Amino acid sequence: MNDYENAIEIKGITKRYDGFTLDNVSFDVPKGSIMGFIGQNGAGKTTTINTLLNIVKKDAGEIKLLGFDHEKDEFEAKKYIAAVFDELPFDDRLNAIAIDKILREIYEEWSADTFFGYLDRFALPRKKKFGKFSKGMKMKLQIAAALSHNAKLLVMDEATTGLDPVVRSEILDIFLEYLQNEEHTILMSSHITSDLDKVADSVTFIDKGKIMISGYKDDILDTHGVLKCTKNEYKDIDPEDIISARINDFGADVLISDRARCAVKYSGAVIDRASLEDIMIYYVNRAKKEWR
Amino acid sequence: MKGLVYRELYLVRKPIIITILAYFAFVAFCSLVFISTYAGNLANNGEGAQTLANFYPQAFFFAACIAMLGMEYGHNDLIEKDYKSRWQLFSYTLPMNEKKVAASKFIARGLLLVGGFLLAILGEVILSIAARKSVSLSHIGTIFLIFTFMTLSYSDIPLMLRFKRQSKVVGVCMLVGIPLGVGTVFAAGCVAGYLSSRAQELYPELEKREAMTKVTTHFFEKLQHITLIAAPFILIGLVGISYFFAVRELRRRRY
Repeated sequence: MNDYENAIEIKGITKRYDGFTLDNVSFDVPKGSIMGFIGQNGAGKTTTINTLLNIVKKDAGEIKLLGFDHEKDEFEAKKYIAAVFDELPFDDRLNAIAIDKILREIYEEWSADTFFGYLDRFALPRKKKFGKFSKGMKMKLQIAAALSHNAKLLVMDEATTGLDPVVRSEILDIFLEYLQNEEHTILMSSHITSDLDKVADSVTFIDKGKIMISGYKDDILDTHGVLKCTKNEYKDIDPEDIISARINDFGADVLISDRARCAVKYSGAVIDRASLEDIMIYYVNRAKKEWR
Repeated sequence: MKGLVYRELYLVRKPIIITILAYFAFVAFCSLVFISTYAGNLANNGEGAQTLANFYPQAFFFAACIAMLGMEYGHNDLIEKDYKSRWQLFSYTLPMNEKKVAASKFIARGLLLVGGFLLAILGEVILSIAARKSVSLSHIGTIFLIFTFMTLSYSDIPLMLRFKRQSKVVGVCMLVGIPLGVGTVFAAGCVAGYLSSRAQELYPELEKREAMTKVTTHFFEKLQHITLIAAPFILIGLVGISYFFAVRELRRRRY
């Protein structure tokens, strides 16, 4: 394996479709961390992930995965990458024993012991056909398969969507355990921000094909805040400080991107910490500036 | 790639088992009929030899069709199911290129066709033993012709990758096949007309049907001979062209 600091390096990728453009997207995912990739449906999360996996051909930009060029060294990089999608990509007629036989021939570092170890841990049957699995079982199986070939990078596209909180929590625990190895990295796209609140080290927000914010989660949460004020106080807020404002009958909740400075500038105003969900919703509405 | 081939074969194991059972049931039934023409009920009524003469030249053909069509049938809709299960998308995340992914489908299809071919040969051996005849080289030649014809099914792979659904592929094939079929039937009619008039010219002393058989037998033997020589080239050419388009289609899918 080659040396690298960032498991994923994306520089200025652009992909144009009729009616949608992934526009000059850039962000890095440091080795040994978990990055949450957040955005509403249709924001460009899946296109970005498909582009970095070279499932979709980019129009411009540069992508490095585990230090490898994602096009030139695609298959070398993919030996160490596992992709997990929102749906199980295995035929309903297969079972875990068959999947072991298939994937052991595909991945050089496939470990049947690890795979069956995960199956036992998740209490998944070995001979039952996947068609008879529940959604939670299917996701656990997909994760078991993804973690059994010594993948250094786990790329997940809406993997926890549609799962109940118990299964989601179980899966998030597995991810944290996987990250105990410093060589391991996760990019996790989701619109369920509570999951990312729990596990993400860094976060990238995407909306309408453009990156809104990218950075360490704690920094983003520390700097952003929701300023609560009356309608009159709202008029006095510098528009440059406002990302967007939710107007209600009594006043306004304003998302600001520099909490410390605004606390001084608008002394007396109540500024709450913003959650990832707040940040996502306010950024999505930034074009409108004011919304209800 | 072994894993991908295994996957393809694993997913068609049910249709294969059904085909093998149906095939052996058919061969067993025919064998019993043949045996009964000299050692059973049919031996006593005096029509045993005629039954054998009528039935034996056809039985191997139907057995071969069951074996080869059946073996290949289950593999036809696998690509459609792969699109539905999103395996097709997932395969792009695997550390292998489009050539290997396409090759796995072709190898699996080839193994199934060869399996069908071997079953058909086995059928000919069993039926000839049951009929107390020697294995017919002409029958084996015909089986080989069917096998060559079945390689047409390789073109199904790039078409399925392109159109995703079998119904669409059937639609496209019909669009191309119906005019071709009508043309072929028309051409066959013209050839039959020509052969008929030629038969009357050459063998005026014979009945029309006999004369026609005499002329066409020669014609078909020649056709079989030509096809047997051309078969390997047709086979390799078809597989090569289909493989090229399958790889191209898989690459195009990285839209």
